[in-house]
Amino acid sequence: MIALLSLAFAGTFDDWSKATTTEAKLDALFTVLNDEALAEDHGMAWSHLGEVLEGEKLEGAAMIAWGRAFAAQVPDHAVEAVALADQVGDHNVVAEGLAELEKLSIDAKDAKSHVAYVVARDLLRRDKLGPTLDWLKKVDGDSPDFADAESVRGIVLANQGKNEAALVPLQTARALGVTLNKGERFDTKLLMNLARVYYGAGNWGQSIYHFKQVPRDSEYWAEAHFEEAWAHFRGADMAGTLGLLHSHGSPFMEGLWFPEADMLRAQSLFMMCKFGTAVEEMDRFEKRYQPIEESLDAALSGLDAKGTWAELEQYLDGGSTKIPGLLLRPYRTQDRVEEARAAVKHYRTEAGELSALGKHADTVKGWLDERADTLVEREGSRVLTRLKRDRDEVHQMLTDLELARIDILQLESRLYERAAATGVMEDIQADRIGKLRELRKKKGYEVWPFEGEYWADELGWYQVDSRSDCPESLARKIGG
Amino acid sequence: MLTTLLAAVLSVASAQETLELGRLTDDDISVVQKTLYPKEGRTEFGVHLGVMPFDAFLVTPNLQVSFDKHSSDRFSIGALVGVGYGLQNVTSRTLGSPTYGVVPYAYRYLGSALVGFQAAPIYAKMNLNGARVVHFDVYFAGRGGVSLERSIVPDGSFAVAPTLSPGIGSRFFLGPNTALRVELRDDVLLERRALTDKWAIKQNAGVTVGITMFSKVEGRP
Repeated sequence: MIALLSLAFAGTFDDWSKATTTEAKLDALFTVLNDEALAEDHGMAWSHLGEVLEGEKLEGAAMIAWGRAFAAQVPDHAVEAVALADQVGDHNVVAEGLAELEKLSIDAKDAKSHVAYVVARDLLRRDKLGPTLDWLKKVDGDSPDFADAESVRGIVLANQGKNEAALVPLQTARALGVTLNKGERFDTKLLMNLARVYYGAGNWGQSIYHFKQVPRDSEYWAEAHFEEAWAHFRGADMAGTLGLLHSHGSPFMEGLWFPEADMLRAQSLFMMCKFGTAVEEMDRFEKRYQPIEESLDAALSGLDAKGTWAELEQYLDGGSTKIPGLLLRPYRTQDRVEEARAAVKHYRTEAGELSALGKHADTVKGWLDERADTLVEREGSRVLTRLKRDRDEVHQMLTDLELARIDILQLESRLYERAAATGVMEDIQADRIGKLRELRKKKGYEVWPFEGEYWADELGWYQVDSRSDCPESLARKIGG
Repeated sequence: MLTTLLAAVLSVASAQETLELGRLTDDDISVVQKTLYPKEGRTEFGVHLGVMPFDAFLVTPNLQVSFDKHSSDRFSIGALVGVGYGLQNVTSRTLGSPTYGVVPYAYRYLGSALVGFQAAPIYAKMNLNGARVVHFDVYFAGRGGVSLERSIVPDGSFAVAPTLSPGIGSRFFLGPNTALRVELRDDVLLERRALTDKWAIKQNAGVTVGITMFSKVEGRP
């Protein structure tokens, strides 16, 4: 029986190799693929199909075919497939199959490393942390992908909660990035990751140090500034937290989604017994986020992954959306979204250029459409999940506000009791001048008083110098 | 009456102090901004075009070259060398016309070499219609040196005059290493005039506008 099957394939393979037209080649290969009795040869047939499709400059279709070949343990053309994936922007289509391979038969070190890195990155995106580390081991230390691979290794280790261990690969990646001239964006991403890992390890000082190095003109700056505020907060530096978050309260940041920053500010004010301002902050939060929560809730009701993707595309193309724009803004610079958009566009375009495939055009079109739909579904679903999480978080914050108000009411009355008993004797103006004088001693810095006016170039340079108003007994209570 | 007034004042004061409690005010916030355009330790070299428009008989276009060494962001020492040529203005030409036939005994500026200091106590910024923030400083200059002048009457005698030159100016920072410098200065010259054989005090007040270049700071573009 086996001999008969092999003979049958040999016959079809002969048909394929002798065929002179694309359609005839596809006839032969589809004959094998449509025959369940030849299942063992399907992998090779997919691989040959990829060759034919690549020859027709149908990159998307070729990747799909090769991806299926890899899944069937036929490792040929791995380098070409990954090169096409780099070009199209969809690595998952080949990486998922490559990840199943028991062995990569690639001789060239750099090419093998690149394939391994692409597979590892895809595995990380699918939250498969263990296999990611296994594939990263295949990246050669001298290959151009090693810096990226080390960066991914650091992220995986951090995700596994091994923050101390994550520092070494991240630092290696950063140093290599400088040597290989990988650019400011790469360096900034690593700074962010290092700062987050230090934060995870409870090393607030190093975390702050790394967040501070994120350039002001970077797309990550507002995020870095906010997370730096968290590091100050965790380090019990409430004034530092408030100084950093002052930028997030400026009109320049109104288009950004940082509800947590507003809550953290209120919380820091609370910790310093600045109850009056904390209440104002809470009122402001409610006034700002209640309508956003409502419109987000309305926008998300009945919205599926496909609809979310359509909304995101509309936003990215400058159109109006039901989902508030400030929630979609972060996706403007997200690599994954950019790659998915490019890939979907490629698949859709390619689906209209299949005339050379003759009667097989419809089949291949079906693959391309399906792949584009899968990407839309996958990315749309990811964005939708995140949006729902954002909505739930804001909802929770708004609910928590009410409880915080009750706390404040009780604590505030104790604060005023203390004030009534001790009086407030400081000469406020003298104190203010003294503070400014002290600040002016700082070399290389200009000091300006803040008079309620926000200047774009002052964002990130605010400092709060205020004493806690907590009487000792209250501080103990607030501190827990 | 006095008691009532005192009570009112005290209650206002008390209310103000109470307000500070439990609140974060603007006074608690400062902007501590890394100096975008540091001058300390840098050398500034500039070329300036100027005019001395206030003389009764002459208008003097001139070219100045400056060199300053900033020991701090607030203080520098430097030198300023200039050349120019005083052109007779309408008054001077009218007087010299056949109608009057009088040539005023004026001296025209030919050049000067001054050394001195600059103190820049003001550093500020302005918002240009919301489109751009321009940082600038305001400095006061005190310089001394010599000026070379020549009489416009036919005897053509020269005067090498000791000069004191107070000035006020401003640098508008255009980039990390360049600035537009505008200065108003008043050269006070003590001149020995040949025809009258007398010492005379003369003022060459002028305005200059120039571009200056700063030496680079390590770690900055």
